Amino acid sequence: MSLDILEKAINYGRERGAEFIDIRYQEVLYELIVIDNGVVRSYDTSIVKGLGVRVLVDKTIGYSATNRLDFESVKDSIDKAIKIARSARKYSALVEILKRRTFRDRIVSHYSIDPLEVDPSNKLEVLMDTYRSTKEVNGIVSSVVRYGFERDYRVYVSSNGDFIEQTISLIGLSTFLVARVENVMERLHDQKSSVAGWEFIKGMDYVKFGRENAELVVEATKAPVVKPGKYTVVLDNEMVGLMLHEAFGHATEADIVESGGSVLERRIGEKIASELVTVIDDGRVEGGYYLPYDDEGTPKTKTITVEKGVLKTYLHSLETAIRLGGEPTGNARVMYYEHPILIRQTNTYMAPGDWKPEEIIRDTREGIYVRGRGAMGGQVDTSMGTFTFTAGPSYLVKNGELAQLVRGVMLSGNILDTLKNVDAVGRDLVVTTSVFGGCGKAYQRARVGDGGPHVRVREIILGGGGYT
Amino acid sequence: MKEILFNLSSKFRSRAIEKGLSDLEFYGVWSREIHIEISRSRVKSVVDKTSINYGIIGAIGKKIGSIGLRDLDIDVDRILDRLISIIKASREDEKFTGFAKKYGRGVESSIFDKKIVEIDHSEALDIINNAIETSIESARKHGADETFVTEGSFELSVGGVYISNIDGEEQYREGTLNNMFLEIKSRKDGEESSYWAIYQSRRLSINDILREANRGGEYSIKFIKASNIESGEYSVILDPYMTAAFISSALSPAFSALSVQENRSPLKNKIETQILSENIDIVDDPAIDWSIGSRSFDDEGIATMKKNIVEKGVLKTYLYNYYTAKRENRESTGNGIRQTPSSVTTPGFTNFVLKGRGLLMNFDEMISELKKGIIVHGLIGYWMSNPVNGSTQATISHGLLVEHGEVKKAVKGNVLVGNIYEWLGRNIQGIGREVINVYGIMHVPAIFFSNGRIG
Repeated sequence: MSLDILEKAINYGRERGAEFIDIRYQEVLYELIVIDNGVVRSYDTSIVKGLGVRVLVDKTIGYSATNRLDFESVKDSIDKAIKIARSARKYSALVEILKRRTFRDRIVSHYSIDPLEVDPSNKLEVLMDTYRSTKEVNGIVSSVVRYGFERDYRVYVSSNGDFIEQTISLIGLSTFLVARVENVMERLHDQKSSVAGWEFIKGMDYVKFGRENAELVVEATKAPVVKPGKYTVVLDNEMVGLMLHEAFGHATEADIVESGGSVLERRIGEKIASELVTVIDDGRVEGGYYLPYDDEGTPKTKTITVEKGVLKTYLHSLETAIRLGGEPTGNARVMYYEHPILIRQTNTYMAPGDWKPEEIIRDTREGIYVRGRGAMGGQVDTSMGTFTFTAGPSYLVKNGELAQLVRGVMLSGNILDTLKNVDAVGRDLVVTTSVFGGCGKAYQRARVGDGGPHVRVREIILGGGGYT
Repeated sequence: MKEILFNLSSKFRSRAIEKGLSDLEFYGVWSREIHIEISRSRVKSVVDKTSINYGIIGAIGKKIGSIGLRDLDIDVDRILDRLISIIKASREDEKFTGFAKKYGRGVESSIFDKKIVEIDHSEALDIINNAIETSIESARKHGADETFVTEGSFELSVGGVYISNIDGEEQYREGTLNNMFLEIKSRKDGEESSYWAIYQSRRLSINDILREANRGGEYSIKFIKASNIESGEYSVILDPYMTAAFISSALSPAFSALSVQENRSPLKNKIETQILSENIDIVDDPAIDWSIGSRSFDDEGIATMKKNIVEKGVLKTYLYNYYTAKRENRESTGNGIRQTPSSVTTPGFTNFVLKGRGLLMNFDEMISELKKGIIVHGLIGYWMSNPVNGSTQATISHGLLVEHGEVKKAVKGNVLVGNIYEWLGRNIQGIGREVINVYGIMHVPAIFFSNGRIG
């Protein structure tokens, strides 16, 4: 499709009475190869292409989307969006879109070797080597290895004069392993991804990655289930990121705040965490997902949501910034062209402190070292702040040293209590992302990243999973 | 829209044969949808979208590959050349014997509601606004000082599914869908609590929508002032929604023949073995009127049928698609489910039905039997339960502590852990008489079990 159509379409929308109009054009390619116990279960490439329109008419928003890309179909979509805006007026909250300066830019994320130019046999070789490294470990009964690559090309144009073109490439490798030892079965999922090209896979020790995961799940199968109770916990980099994103980050999203669904509503300027806690949302941090502009064409830079324990801002779009009185932070995002704007995090992480990770363990006489590798994720009730997470195989800490491996670690609590109980923050910042998943909200998945340093929290409730 | 899919399929099929593919499967879906988002009881956005999404899955001998497209501006030859290069690079699967053949239609049920097709944006907005007002009114009637819908969505869609293979066999059906989700928050005496209303059906039933909205409003006030209880072993009643939540994450995936064949299911080698209480039957039923999973053919064109999966607690069969059935030299059970148009199918339930044979109780009877226990009406994190070993875990967000048949207080923040095979096996105390359709394809009763571990 010629990009000239987009600017013509903006003019058409204005002529038809839209006070504001923006268009998101998108082409996404996703390549997925799945090796299931040594067999190519799937070698799939999917391509999504289409265009979404948002109009503001008489202070009401209307959206429409199509993957028919001739100018007549695009005009038809704009007419539909205008009609929807008019019919929704009766039940809608009135909307304004913040006017900011115009941005015009073109960005392509860096890669050295284009994965689409790599011979497929090389990809399969990597996957088979990874698979074999897992199956060589005694006790592994099932092994699924996946390669994923996504190239997401987005064009944003608006009646504000914005024209942003960005192409982001994300690549990764994952394993899903099941071990069986004396009739006890356990699973472990792990992945490594990066905004990069094939050089990321080439430079990765995937055989070691596979073998270590296999050894870990076999060892976990033999490990006891953690005894439920209150513990002092040391969270590793992955676990900190996962918890911050899920349990805290969502509550800073302005659309959740204004819906009345956030425990952080009306708390800007309030101390809500230990002064050791500084939380950042950054679209350009190393290791995370690269998001230079959001889907409203606003630059996504570093947003400090919590500084030394004090809540500084929510994450905003052009709509919520004007309603809630903040600055746009570049967090307006859509999964695909057809979706409405939501406020989404980009890369959420805790700023590093000054403890060495090993010092934190040594200083923690009794407790548990909670690991993110193999974690299944988590869920939070943002309006109450209640969370629950399942960690990967973790270690008891005894006399300041790592002791026995335990499994079935499930964390539960309230995020604000938890952040207030942070009493040590490491100096080792690690942020990661994933090409295999992302964050789900209102039927939309967004690529995100998260991380942080090692962090110690006093008193978290741990439950042990139920096993026969 | 369906003509576009027919034409695409026909072009791909004729060119695929010329280009030397030994097998080909085309799977396409079209949809037209009105999607409304709600924030703080007001409409946040309305989206009207139309899309066509299709996949071409090809094979040369025992090698397969696939391409999925949401793009109508394509060059069929270029796509096929790309598909062939993917297939050639792939590796042989010795167990692959070709894509599904012998298409057919099995059981039929109502899946198309004309009302959904005819409705316009204004009427859809009226319906969801009515549901919001109903939930607020219900909460106020039950004592709330203030109530509003924090977030919600309402979706009405119509669409078609078309499947064809290289032999020219084809199947097509059209269906409708209606989803509603409301999260309702209530405040009373400085405390607050929330609950939700969920409706998923192939039919637009305003009565059912309002009933759910009414329940959501009532429950949004029911758990106010909830707090933790002491750790220990309790008897537990899961309402049908929570039964469905645990079953869909810890139990139902284990019946997939692929999970069994690839050693990811604890049910391997357990056919004709007692796996659950003798009072439990589980059925895969693709012919329940208006249920989301109802269909007359599965996602690879095979006729569907009703079948007993567990009878009196004894495992009778796994769920098979064409591929897993051929691996065991048997017929598919019509349970091929596709995650995306270009993915190969994996076996899964159409509609999951769990019924009790004995220990049948009404919900009130279960409560009166509780000496010390918890009724669970809300959970977070249940989806992290583990189908590989049946372990269940979640945090209770909405619970009621019951002592000697009387509700004593609302409970939240406790962890509930256990194992689904124990809960539905040796620990089962009661099974609800009423089987309810919740969360799309699940048709389950409340269950009552002992020795639930609460942390």
